[in-house]
Amino acid sequence: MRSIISKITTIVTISIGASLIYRSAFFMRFVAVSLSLIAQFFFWKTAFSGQTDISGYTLESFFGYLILANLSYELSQPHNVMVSDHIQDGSLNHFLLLPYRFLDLVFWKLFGDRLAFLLASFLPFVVCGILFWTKTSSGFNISPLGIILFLVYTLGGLILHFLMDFNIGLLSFWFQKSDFLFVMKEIAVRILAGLWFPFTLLPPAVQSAFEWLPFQFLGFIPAHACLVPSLIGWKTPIILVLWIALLYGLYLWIWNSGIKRYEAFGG
Amino acid sequence: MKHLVDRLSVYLRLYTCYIKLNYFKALAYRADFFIGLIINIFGAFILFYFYDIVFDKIEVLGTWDKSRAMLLVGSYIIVESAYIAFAFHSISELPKLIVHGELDSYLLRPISIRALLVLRDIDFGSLVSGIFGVGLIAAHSSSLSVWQIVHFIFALTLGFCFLSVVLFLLMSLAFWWGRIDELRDLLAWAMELGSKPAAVYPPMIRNLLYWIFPLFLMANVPAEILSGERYSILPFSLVLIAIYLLSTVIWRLGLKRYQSGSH
Repeated sequence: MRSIISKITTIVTISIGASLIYRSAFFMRFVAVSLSLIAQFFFWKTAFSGQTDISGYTLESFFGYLILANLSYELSQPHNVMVSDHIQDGSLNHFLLLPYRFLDLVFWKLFGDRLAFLLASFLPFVVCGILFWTKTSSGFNISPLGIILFLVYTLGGLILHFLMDFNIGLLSFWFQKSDFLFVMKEIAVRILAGLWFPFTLLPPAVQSAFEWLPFQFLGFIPAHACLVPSLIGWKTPIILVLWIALLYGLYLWIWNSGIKRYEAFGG
Repeated sequence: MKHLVDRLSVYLRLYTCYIKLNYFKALAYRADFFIGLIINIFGAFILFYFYDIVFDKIEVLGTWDKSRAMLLVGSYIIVESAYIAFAFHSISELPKLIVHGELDSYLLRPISIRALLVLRDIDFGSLVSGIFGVGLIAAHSSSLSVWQIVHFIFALTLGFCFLSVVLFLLMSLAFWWGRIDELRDLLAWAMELGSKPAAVYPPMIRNLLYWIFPLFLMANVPAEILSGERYSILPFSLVLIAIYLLSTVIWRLGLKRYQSGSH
């Protein structure tokens, strides 16, 4: 057990150090997300100008939701996973010789990268958060339980998001190009993960369908759990665990079939 | 004059060749073509669905109703699909050419390098999604004059040129900074500012996005022309010329820095 923890700590520490070298990339990402949030803020401010609430949300709670959903999504982004690149250029060989499982190595590397992102973007996020919360006098409060649930569901989202991207990347055992699935996913999550608006704005039938999909854990659920912890029912963590188990099973199946096809030479 | 006509015919032939080559490529890699097509239609549909849901809840957005918002969405989809189809892939390759020292082969040719690089890689699949935008505009606009249509097409062209020139400017910074994928992504995120109605922004941001960094050329200006709110787009051409000149200066300064030991 100690050796496992030591291996994980080593990977995470190295990954944090390596990722912090490229902190300008984190800053760019922060600016990009901020631009998107600025556009959404002014849009919804105008939308709310004629009414006090939309689908049970005030402007403050609505925008608070958007900040949290986008923050959670950014924290769960599987940047630099690049599984397909390793398969296509043959550099997977190096990983196969290491005393780590490829999946574990990539996951803990990503975990370190996301921690580094959190560290590098922590100050700007805190400043923005304080500015927003002090400007909005009422609307919502965030409880300690809400913060804990936000972190737990964001971690769940990170694992899910990682498994989705990892599995898509593994398709490179068969296809030259599987990038399109990443693009599709990126487009779809804007609505499926609730990054543009909460699910409560959607028609009831669509809402109930979305509640069974894994994408809700990439933005909607962490933000919703943070703002209104009491509304998260017993069904939600079960769906999360089931999706993780399903995607993990899918990984085992794809990996075991794909690795038999894998061929590379040289060092 | 004759020289100018000759130069134009050279570029025309070059672009005809590019179109043919890319057409054959699309035929050879049909799966890629259809995948590009599906992704872009899907992306266009998501933006449409966003506005559809919003206007089901609020009916009016400031002074905007659903039909007017759909003109904005349609214009945005057309400009974005043209940008992805013609400019995005080709110009995005520029940092790679600079970093790997592969720009040499382009520098040696008796033709403008920028003209040679742009339109090199055409994605026909993306272009098709523009039809969805045209359909949206046709469904939500009424009694357009020929003058309006001509103006509208010109505004869309300016929007496309603006995005292409800005992307080229950003990618030229690779002469100094090497790999700059983040800047390309930043532009993609900034485009979201242009996908919202200008009226929602405070005057300072609105003026900035009209006259300094005219992201509103993508969708707001064309939609204003269709709804009869704007009659002249000449001032935007001047802004675009200024941005183009800035991009030319950066490109030339970058070329002076460029070094390579290959080929």
